[in-house]
Amino acid sequence: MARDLFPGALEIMVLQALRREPLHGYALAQLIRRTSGDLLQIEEGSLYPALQRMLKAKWVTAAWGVSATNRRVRIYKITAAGRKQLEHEVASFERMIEGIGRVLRPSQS
Amino acid sequence: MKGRELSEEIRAHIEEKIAELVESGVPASDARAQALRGFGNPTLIAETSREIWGRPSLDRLWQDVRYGARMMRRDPGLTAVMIATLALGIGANTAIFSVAHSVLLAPLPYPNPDRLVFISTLNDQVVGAPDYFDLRAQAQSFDAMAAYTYQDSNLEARGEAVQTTVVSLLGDMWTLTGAEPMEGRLFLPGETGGVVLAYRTFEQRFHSDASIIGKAVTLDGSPAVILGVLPRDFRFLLPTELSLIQKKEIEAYVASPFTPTNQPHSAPQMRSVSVVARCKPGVSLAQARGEVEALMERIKAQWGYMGFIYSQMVVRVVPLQDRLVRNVRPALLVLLGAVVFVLLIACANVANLLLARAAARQKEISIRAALGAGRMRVVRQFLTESLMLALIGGAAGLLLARWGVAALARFGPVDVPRLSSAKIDAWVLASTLALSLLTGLLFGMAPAISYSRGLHNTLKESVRTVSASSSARRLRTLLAAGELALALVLLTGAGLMVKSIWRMNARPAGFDPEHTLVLKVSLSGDRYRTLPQKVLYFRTTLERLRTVPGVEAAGVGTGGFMGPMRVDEIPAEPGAPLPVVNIHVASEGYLRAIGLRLMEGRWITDEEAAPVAVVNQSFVRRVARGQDPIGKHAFRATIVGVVADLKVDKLDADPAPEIYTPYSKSILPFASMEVMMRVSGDAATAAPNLRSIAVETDPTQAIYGTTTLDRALAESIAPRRFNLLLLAIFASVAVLLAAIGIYGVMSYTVMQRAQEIGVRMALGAEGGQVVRMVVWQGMLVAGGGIASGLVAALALTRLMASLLFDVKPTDPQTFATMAAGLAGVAFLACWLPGKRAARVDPMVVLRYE
Repeated sequence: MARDLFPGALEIMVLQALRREPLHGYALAQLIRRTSGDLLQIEEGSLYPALQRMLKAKWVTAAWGVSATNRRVRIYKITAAGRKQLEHEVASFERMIEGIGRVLRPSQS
Repeated sequence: MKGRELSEEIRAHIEEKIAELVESGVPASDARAQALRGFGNPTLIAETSREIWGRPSLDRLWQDVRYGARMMRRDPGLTAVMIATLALGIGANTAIFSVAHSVLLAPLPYPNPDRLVFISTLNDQVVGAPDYFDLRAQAQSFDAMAAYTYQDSNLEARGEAVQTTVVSLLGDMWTLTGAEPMEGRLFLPGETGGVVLAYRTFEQRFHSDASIIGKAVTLDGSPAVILGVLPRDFRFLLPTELSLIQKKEIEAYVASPFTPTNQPHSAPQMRSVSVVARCKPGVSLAQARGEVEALMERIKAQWGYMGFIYSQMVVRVVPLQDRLVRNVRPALLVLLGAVVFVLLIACANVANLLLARAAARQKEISIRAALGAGRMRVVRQFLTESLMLALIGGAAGLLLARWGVAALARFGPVDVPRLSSAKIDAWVLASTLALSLLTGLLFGMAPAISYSRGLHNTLKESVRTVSASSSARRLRTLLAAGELALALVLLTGAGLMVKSIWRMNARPAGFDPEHTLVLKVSLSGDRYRTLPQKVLYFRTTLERLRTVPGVEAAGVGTGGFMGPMRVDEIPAEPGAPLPVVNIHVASEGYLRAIGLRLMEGRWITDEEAAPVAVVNQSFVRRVARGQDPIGKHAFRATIVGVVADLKVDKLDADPAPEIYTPYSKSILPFASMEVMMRVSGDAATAAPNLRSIAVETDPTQAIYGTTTLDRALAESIAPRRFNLLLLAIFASVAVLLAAIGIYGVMSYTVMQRAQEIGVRMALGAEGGQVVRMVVWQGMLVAGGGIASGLVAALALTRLMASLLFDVKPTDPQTFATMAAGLAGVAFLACWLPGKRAARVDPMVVLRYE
């Protein structure tokens, strides 16, 4: 079943993936699909506008390289600013989850 | 660069996916489709990605513009029609707007224009000269006040006498107008005998020769000195009430000889002057008016014997600019309304053409949509194209307007203040730009809306059965009907004005202005100081003229005097002000030469023993209150005759009460007289000869203004005829555009229904039936438009009541004629496509199926 992503979720997932290792677009798409357990379906294409936004914000850099399947691809790498942004996003994401939790379970607060 | 990298990256992504799918066992044939399904629309994604890198809207705009330009070039005929239509609409608006701007809105070119006021106490026009002196001395609300009168003067310089239109000034006129001399100096307060020339007079009569300054000249027989010249851009823009054959341009300025001493309240006759003043800062109109009223009440109480005149007193203090444009404002506003209508029709027409084209482009648009163009994107494309059209049309319209403003300034009526200074300035440019953009949005809306309503169905259909959605067809029908409605409003307006002019020219029997010649004679110098001297001059001249073959009657007379009057034996209407009567002095033949008809009693003669007078029917009605006036007395004379009403001054005024007294016994001072001659044959050709015969009496006296009465009368309604001409032009353009509009809709419908018509004809329908069907359908639309046009016209022509004469704004005859005429045009516009439909060959149409 497909769910829509909340705004910013795609960026978090991309930054999270890139923190472990630099990846190219296709690999990123595959990774995100696997880690979300096919629960969150996105059109793979929508990854690219998000990547452009992050390039512009200088959270990631890109360089041409060669993929495992020997294709010429652009490999994305997280920057220091990207890491900081990820921490910030995760923190605010957790605050949000916490907030939702409180709303859902008012009796326990 | 960035774009290409991105496309390459996306391609690599898809290929990698395909490879993986193939590896996992998906047949190669399905793999690409499956990969694309998972990826989304690559073009759209590439575009949105690119947009992140800035200036997306500019890029897209540029793309839209280039595409729009291609579309325009593809159909140059249609594009030209649309641009021409818009240019007409925008050009007419720009031209009329720039005139309205410079005439109505632009501040007067004097210091503190917003504080200038026009003061009148009599006749909504003038102030008594003694009252002016009192007001100027006592009123505290003003920091400057001036008075002026007009006259025709005989200016003799360098041995040549030329009739010159002169303004006599009193008070602070130079301060009020901020005038500075270009050459020489201006006369000082209280200084008389000086002449200041207008620039044009200096340039044309004296060939810009500055040595004329300081030279002695003769003005109406008295010595004077030319003191200076006003600069080229000085305009004397004060309200003028010039008579029929006076020149309309001020040629020189002199100091008025009036003083408080020679114009006392105790004089038996009161001269009048026009008065302008500048309010002190912070003084309101109401305050100024209150003070003038209080002062006038005091004067009235003090000089009770003048109560006869003061009973007519109404104090008015109005902004000078309002007073100046009072007579032209309604006409300009009506014309502005008319051009806005023309523009609306133009918009509707272009919208209609765009809708037709949008229908033809539906397939292309659907393909664009399928390739990933968002809805907003397509709408924006439409709007970009419309705005391009509007801007090009606006630019072309600006050119038209430049030419139009020049034509208006050149051929427009002279008494529209500041018409000649109308020009296209930054203000007008800005409003044209705004107007063009607004126009573009207005007519671009139609195709954009109709597109966003019915999308996505087209591709499924085969090309040939593509038809405009029914909403678009409804829109087009509505637009065509709307155009007809607007056109009818304009037509009705123009029709009412035609009828007004026709009514003005309606002439009683015996009045024959084509064969009546007018010469104006102004006597000056020592030889013509006394009444008998003047009478002798005219008697000699008239005798000479009467001997000329072809001259049937000749006489001399003048108007120019007026005053409240009553018949001594008939009590005046209690409480009401006395009616104002025009007073003429005239010779025996004058009344007959004009073409007046004697209804009762007898004519005046040149040899009366006692003072007598002839009055007209309006006098009988309004002054004698309907009673027989013969033998009774008015204006210190016995009434001996009654003549029929005749409009011999202004065609567009109702006949006023008139009284004619013999000039040989005149108690009024007169210097200039009009010689009227009734001639057989062509008056215009006889004019030069008659003039030279008149000059022979005394070559030192100026004879000028030779014209036929016909031409002089026509001149009196020149502004109206000019308004009519403009309105008629706008109405014709409107009808033409509306006809094109309905023709376009009907042709398009016929084209779309070709198949159906073919089937009908194959089944035995006659050509005539097909024509009837098409025409009937078109006329339903036209009928709706014309009916709503009639309703709108009923509501709107009321606003032009002040431009009409003797015609009600709801004149049924005009309404019916114009509606029928427009219906005829609409019929023709429907009949042509109908006839084409009847020529459809059923075999050709059906073979396509």
